[in-house]
This record gives sequence, C-alpha cells and structure tokens, in this order.
Amino acid sequence: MGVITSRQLIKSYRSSIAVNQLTVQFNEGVITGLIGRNGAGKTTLLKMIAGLVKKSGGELSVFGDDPFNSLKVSANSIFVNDQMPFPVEYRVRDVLKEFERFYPNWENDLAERLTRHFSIDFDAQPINFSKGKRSTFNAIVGLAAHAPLTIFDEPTTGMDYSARQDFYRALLKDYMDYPRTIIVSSHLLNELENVLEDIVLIHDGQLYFHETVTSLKEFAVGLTGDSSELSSVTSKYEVLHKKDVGLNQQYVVIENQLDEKVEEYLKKMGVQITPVSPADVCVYVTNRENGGIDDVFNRSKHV
Amino acid sequence: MSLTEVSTYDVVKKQSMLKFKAFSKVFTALIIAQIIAMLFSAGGAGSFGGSTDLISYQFYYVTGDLVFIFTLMWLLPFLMA
Repeated sequence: MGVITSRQLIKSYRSSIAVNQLTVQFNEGVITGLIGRNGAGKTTLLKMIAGLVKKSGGELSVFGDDPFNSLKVSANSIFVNDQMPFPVEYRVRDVLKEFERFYPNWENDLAERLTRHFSIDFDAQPINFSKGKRSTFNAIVGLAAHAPLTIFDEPTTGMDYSARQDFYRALLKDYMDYPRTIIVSSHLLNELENVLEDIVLIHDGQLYFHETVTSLKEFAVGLTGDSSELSSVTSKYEVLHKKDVGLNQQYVVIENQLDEKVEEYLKKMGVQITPVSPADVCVYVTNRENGGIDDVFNRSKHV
Repeated sequence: MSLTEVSTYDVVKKQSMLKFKAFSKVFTALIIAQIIAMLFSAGGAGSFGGSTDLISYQFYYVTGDLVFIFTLMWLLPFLMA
C-alpha cells in the first residue's frame, strides 16, 4: 500500500528541472532509502512530500492529500535535515519542550535518553553546535517525534563513524517499537543497507528503480579475469561497469543473468565471481552514460 | 500508526505561542525602547501659561511622538531584512 504516491511529478526551478515526471510510490510502514547522486533531486522530492515546496506539475498524494498547505500532512510528518530552523535563543530543553507541543506521539523520555547518550548539554543552544552535533540533535528530534511519516534528508551529515552507527541502531530499534513510514536519503548506502528494506534510486529527477534491498543484492555480479576471455562472455550481457585491474586483467560487472553453464565455464577459465553490494550497483547504473572517474584521467581516449 | 487530526485553530494557537516565545527578546527590546521614549518625553513637548490676579495656570503638552519614533526605530532591522 502506498502512503505516498506520485505520478508524473515535476518540480522545475527557474532554469533547471529538479524532478522530472517522477512516478514513484513509498510503502506504508517500511524504511525506504532514497538514493541518488548529488543533484539527482532527492531533497526536492522529499521537500515536496513534506509540503515544504510546491510542485510544478503532476500529481502527488501523501495520506491521500496534496501535501502543500495540508495541515494533516504537516501534523503527521516530520522532515529532518541538517538545517532545521530552531529559534535563536532556544536551548536544547526548550526545543524538546516545543516539539512535545506539536507532535502528539512525541516521546520525551526517549529524547532525553538519546540526548544524554550523545552527551548533548540540555542547556546548550543548538545553533551553536558543530555540524555533527547539530545533525545528531536533529536526528534525535526526528526519532522522538514518532511521526507516522518520518523523513530524514541526509541525517548523518558531519556525524562521525560511531555516531552514525549509533544512529542507525537507534533508528532500527525505534522503528521496531513504533513501526511507521520512514524515508532516509543518504549517500552512505553501504552503511545503511542493513537498516533499509526498500531502495528507491533516482537519477536526473527520474526514477531508476524501486527494489527491495534483498533483490538488489542479487541484481549484479562482478567478474574478475583475463580481459580477452571475459569480453567474449560479457558481450552477451548488459555491462554495468568495467575496470582494468593489473595487466590484462579486468573487473566487469554485469546483470545477474548467468546460467549455470556459463558460470561453470567462467570458473574453469579462472574467472572470479563476486557479489556486488547495493551501494556499488547504484553507483554503476547511474554512471553508465559518462563512464567512471578513470575515463576523465584516461588521456588516450580524448586524443 | 493512526493519523492525528488537527484543527486550524489549534495549530494557529500553537504557532503563535511558538513565535511569541521564539522572539521574546525582540518584544522585550520593544518594551524597553518604548519605556525609554516615555522617559524622554516625560518633560513635555512644550508649555504655555499665564496668570490673572486670582490664579496662575500652566499647560504642558505631552505627546507620544517619540514613542512612535522609537517604535519605528525598533522596526528598522525588520524592514531592512
């Protein structure tokens, strides 16, 4: 069931199109990861869903309403990013108190415990926090609000490794206690893949795919072996990524459609078959048109 | 998770309280500015008087102009923003 559905959704700014005829559906009660390169339109999409930005065209429905100017959507959703505006004079405890007034499901106890865990001073002012601490505090607010639709837009910006791990764990535990629709946009898919259930990949404002993490893990395989031998096999498949490793050796990523016969043949040739992580798959499929970073430095191609 | 229904009245009330609290120092500054303006204008803006054989009288003019001007000065930063 889709709690958020969009059809042919468009958002254009003066000279550029951020979201281009996007048709996507986010399932209720699922943690979905929104993945895409910088400038793919993730933040714009999330802001439209939260009702912070007005769409330019198409259809968008959240809880059955158009989110822009909808009190129902704003009362039932929380949008967390690294620049949540807090009043200048507010201390941490004031902010928590204020959220309690606005979000009926707010769990103050959880907020206070998390604040203590991340050693945030209740009398400090959030606007003076460092980047990582600010993100941590915003994430705490996002979790404790227990909003039926919780949106994290790059919540881990500036957080150190251990804070990120703690946040993922907290997110998962809190989700198990209060199952709800959660959307997390992030660049760090390899860290998040154990938390997410669905992955939505967008590129250039359009949907690339909407898959479960499990199926994405089996989406592609990596083959490492002699280049000439590999190319005879891989020419029959869709090649997602190709990289030279050492002399005459190549690493090729193809869609996972190998049958057993081919697989055996490859093994006999001494080709290593390795799984490809979802994070890498996302990078490869969105990189296809302009090649990898290696091509930029490969002078022979440009001459 | 069940959805919360909210009324416009409730939200407006909450938002106004939030804004009032968030800008409490700004409002305090206005009050202080106006009190200062009142002190300045306490002397009156002018007076005239006269006397007859029986009584002498004095009129003082008091005006709120200065309070108004101070309020405008308090407003200036917002107008420039």
